[in-house]
Amino acid sequence: MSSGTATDRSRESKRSGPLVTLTRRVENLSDTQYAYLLLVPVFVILGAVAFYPLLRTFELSLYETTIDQASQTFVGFDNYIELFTGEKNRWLPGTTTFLPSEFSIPGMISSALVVTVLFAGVTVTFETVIGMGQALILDQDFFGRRWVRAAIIIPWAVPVVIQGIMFYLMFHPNVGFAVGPLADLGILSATNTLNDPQSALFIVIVADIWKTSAFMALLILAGLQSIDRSLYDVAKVAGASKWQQFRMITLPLILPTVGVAVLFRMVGALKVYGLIDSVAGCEVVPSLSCMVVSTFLTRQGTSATIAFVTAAIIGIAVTVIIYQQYKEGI
Amino acid sequence: MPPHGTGSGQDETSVSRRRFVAGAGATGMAAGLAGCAGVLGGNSNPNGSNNSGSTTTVTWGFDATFANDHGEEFSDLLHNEGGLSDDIEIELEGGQEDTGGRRANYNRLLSAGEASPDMFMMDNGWVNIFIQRGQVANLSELLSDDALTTIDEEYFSGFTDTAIAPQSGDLYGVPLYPDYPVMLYRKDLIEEAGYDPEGENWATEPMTWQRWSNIAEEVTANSDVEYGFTTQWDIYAGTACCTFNEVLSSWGGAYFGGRDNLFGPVGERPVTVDSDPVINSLQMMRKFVHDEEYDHLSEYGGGFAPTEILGWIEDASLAPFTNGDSLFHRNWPYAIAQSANELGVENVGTMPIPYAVSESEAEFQGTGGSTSALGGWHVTANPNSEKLDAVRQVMEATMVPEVQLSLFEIEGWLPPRSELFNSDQAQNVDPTGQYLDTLRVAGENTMARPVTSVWSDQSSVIAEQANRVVAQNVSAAEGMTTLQSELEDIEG
Repeated sequence: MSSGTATDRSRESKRSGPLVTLTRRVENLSDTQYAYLLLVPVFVILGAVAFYPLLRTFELSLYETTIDQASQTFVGFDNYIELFTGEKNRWLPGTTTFLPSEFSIPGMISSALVVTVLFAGVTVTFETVIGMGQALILDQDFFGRRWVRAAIIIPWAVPVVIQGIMFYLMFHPNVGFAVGPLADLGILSATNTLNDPQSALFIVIVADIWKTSAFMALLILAGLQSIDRSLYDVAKVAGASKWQQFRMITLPLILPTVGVAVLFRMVGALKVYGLIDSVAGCEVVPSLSCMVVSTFLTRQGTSATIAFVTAAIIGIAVTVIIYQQYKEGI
Repeated sequence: MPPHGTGSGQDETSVSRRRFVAGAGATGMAAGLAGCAGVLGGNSNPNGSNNSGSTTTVTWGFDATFANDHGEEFSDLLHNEGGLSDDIEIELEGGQEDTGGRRANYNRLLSAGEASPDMFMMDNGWVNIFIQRGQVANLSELLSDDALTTIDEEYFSGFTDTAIAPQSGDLYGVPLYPDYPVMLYRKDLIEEAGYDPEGENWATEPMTWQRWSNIAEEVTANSDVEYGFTTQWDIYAGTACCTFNEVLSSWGGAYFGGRDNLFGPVGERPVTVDSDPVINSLQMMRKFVHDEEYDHLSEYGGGFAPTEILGWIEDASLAPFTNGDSLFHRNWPYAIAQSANELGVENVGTMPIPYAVSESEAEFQGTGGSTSALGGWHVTANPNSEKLDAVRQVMEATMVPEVQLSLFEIEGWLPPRSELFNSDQAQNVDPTGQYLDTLRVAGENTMARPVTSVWSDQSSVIAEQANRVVAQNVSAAEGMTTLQSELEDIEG
């Protein structure tokens, strides 16, 4: 490239500047690399809104705040050690009431983890089964289907706190009607029902199943309605029974949807707080999120530790579910 | 935010990779910065005061309902009866209805060093936390000597104590109105059973739990009421601060070794919930509910309180009484008016909370005798305010007896000094005025909740264990041993 006039030289120097070099490099990227480059802003925003709070929580978990929250002391992993071993012998909410004393382990393991895992496991299992049943019903063509669909969806539309108050009132000693029959069956404690840990956990589980089965049903119904109906025609011609049609066609084709639904619900169930707090209170049914809230005002380090551990548990659960689904080709 | 550099001057109609990259980058940057701007913008809390001419406007964080319903009336009252200068205007800023929400809001304002509101209405249940953090003004340095002397000599000392720094003894809040529970009872049924509450001065002379429980058992058995005694024993703050606190104190027990340790120092005071008086008090409650046999309670009546108390808070427990289904009922003054209106003044009597041991027999200092829990609100000053002199004048106006009596008339807020209970104006307030004798006695026998920075954690485990014991999930001794270790852990 010749350089004649001063203007040409100046233009040439600009063309060989860092911006030009950078632009050329971008122009020469492969399509894959270029696609990743375009995703950089999204990653930056995601990092800011998702990972920064997580890292900040982790940072907070390495400190201990004074009682008046005037200062913070770096304590490393002491909060984690305390949480899992009870080594410091410091009180954590709900650690002495939920499990019988012979099963009681020091630290958070004793109650909150048991409550949370039990709640998540039981609710997600029942919600999946009931939701699938509801979806299969809604997938049929029958008179009044719209009304049935509305009836199934209504519980899901009820806000969590209102749902909590409904169940609280159902089991309240003054106005509740549900205690007597269930107590007669030996399922609930006849007195002080909402303050009895096992009874309260049962009520909270039932409340969650009542509400969220509809959510599962909706997701599974979407999967059902995407199935090509001609497959069933072929199956009928081949003489397949209803059960065989379900097992060979319906179930395999809705499994990916069910997998996604289970994933969503598992994450939600492991974070449960509002329902517990409005039905029975965190002292009676201590979940992990409950403990985060209970300790936040006075012990932010402990609160952040529990929050980070909860996030880690949810992360592990999500990874395991996704890996299982990947392995099974769902 | 404009992108760096200028356009290339190329064809504007086609979008090259280069231009797209620049645009996308700029958009991403802009979005990022917009987010940051939102964060960095923070929230500015404009100073609510406006000084026009020689008038000073004092902003006051106050009860929202009262501010709405009686704000102007209150302002006139302070000027006309309280002698507040016309140069001082009052602007009531309604806070959240929920006391916890209000506390959190004031905490945010004061932590941020805001100068407005100039003064606050603070719950006696958490004012001590603000005192400990140095977030409210020292009134021992602000108020006149006359005002300080009046508070010291004439006000209910138990209530005033909740606004005093335990370390220095300095005053940080002017008591506005106290709140303390009494025992309500069905006077008609009691009289039908042959008792003479008026002749025996039930309204002012506390009786022992032993006598009271025998009356409750007997009258309940011989009348058509469903319950002998309704109270609150749910797992909630009220059990820890109040109902359990009253019962154990009336047995001479204490959470932290006596009255002197109520407000700390945290970690340096003894935890005494596993002591005999506390265990005895819980066994008494179990006797009332389940009629359990205990040697030391063999002379007591029992089995007249329902298991429902384990799930009751104030309103839920009041309903059976106002419906005529309960003989005795423990509740705050608001319940007196409701009950008298429902059942008739002639059918409702009040008495101080019964007791088990006298003050001289109590194991722990400052306990024993009839004990009422303590609620109520104080007036505190914002140390960042630039109008502290005007704040002082407003505070002193609230201390004028006529103002306090008018507040009792307007809103039912009890005067914070006992002498006013005898005034005609107070006695004529319908229907609560007819029960002032009991309220005066109760006001002189209050036990504050032990509010410190760790109280929220402690109240939760106290309520939990007290509930479990009375529910018969654990024995009183076992429950209190567990509570002892939990409280020690929290104390640190």
